[in-house]
Amino acid sequence: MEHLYTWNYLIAIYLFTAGLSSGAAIIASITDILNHTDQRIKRIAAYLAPFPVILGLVCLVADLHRPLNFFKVLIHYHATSVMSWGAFFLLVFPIIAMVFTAMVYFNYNGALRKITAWLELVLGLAIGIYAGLLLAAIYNNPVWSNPLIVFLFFVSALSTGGCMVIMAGKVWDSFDQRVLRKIIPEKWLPAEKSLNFDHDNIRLLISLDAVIIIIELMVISTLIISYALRPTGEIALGAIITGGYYLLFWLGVVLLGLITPLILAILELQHKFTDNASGIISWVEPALVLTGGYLLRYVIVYGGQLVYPILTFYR
Amino acid sequence: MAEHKKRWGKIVDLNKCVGCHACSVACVAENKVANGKHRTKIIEHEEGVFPNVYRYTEKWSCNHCQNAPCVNACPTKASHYTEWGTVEVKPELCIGCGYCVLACPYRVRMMNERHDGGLPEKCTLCLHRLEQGLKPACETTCIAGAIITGDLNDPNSEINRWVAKGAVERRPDLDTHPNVFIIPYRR
Repeated sequence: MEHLYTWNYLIAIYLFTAGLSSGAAIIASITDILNHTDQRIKRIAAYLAPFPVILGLVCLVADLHRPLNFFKVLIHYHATSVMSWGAFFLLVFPIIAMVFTAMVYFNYNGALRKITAWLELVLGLAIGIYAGLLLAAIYNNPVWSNPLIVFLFFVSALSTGGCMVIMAGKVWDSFDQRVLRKIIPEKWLPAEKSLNFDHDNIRLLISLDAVIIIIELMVISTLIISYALRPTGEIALGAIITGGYYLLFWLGVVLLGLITPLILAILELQHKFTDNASGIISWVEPALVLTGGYLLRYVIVYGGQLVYPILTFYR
Repeated sequence: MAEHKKRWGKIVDLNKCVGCHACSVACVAENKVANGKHRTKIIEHEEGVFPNVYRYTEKWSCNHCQNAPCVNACPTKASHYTEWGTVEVKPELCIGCGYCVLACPYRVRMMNERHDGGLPEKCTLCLHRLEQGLKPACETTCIAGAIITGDLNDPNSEINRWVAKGAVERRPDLDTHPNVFIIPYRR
């Protein structure tokens, strides 16, 4: 049993942060390409996009058993290895996202802005899909080798990315005034002082989030059916649905991370919250979605490794 | 005798294996495997339906697939095929990500701890002994004579006589085409 888990919670953190970055990058680049008049959601999403995945990359390197060799994965590429493709995307994405962040912050509107926005969209999609593909490409694992894992992680990435934008939007103006505008030299500073990320932006993101959560619930039900229909279904269901990590899955991911935020979002859209209770929708709902998003990765990463000893005897 | 390219292979006869773990211990001693790790181990099968039940043991180690999931999964090409058809790891390229350990459908690899070098631990078919004309450590120590190693490309080798006795691949459905075969247990 001591060798059961090759990958630990650091991989779950990486998959989660890659999702956050992917979601934020997709929101930022799509709103930028569509040239939406309301700048606020786009700006917050663009400012945030590069940073979660950089934290995730630190976790990835920390998880390596030969961390000093990590640069080899950036030099030697292998076309049949999903991880090799991912390493390329993870090398390029933070660079492009940082450039895009700077372009948005300093109001650069030149010819490169459009190209960078498209690149950010493509790379955001790439790292969002790669997170699930990394696991789905292991074709003999009953839990992981399911195309729906890719879809589930991607949908969850959009949901958690949007919730990160809500939480960051609430604190952005004070962070900008107190920190950024003291570090950056006066002559480079963009003209507008504050974004005034308000309740209308939150309502827009919450309504999108409600739709995405419903899709996510549908994907999870389809995934369970897909497991059950396979010859290895009993093993997969036993690892995360009916045994193994089932408590974390049903209580943490489904109840706490999907159903509760969905109910809160619907109540908000029906104007059930007074101004005094606005914290529920701007803090509690996003925090629940983020917790659920992390627990989803945790359950899949650990549950997938739980099945390996059984596979040895599988004929 | 005409020169030909060697393809090393191994056959384990499950009818002869008694599950004494001698191969496992000999491998650890020969290859100086890190504390607590094994390149080859014995797994026990319990099969049948009561009252017709039976159990047998099986030597379980790297199958040296010709279409190896671990080689396909490795991002740096550290896991590679040697010119004799076996699968090995280049330490200078390995980053210790553990992806090969998870990709292996036979679960024969395991990661070494960082202070032990952090490489995936796996059977090399004792290539260093084969090159000197010796038998692998597991084969020399096997008390039942259940293991045979040899050149699968040489039609006159003893391993090919064992192949004729009914050796089969492990999990042929996976399309891995291993160089290591078993002669299945017959009651």
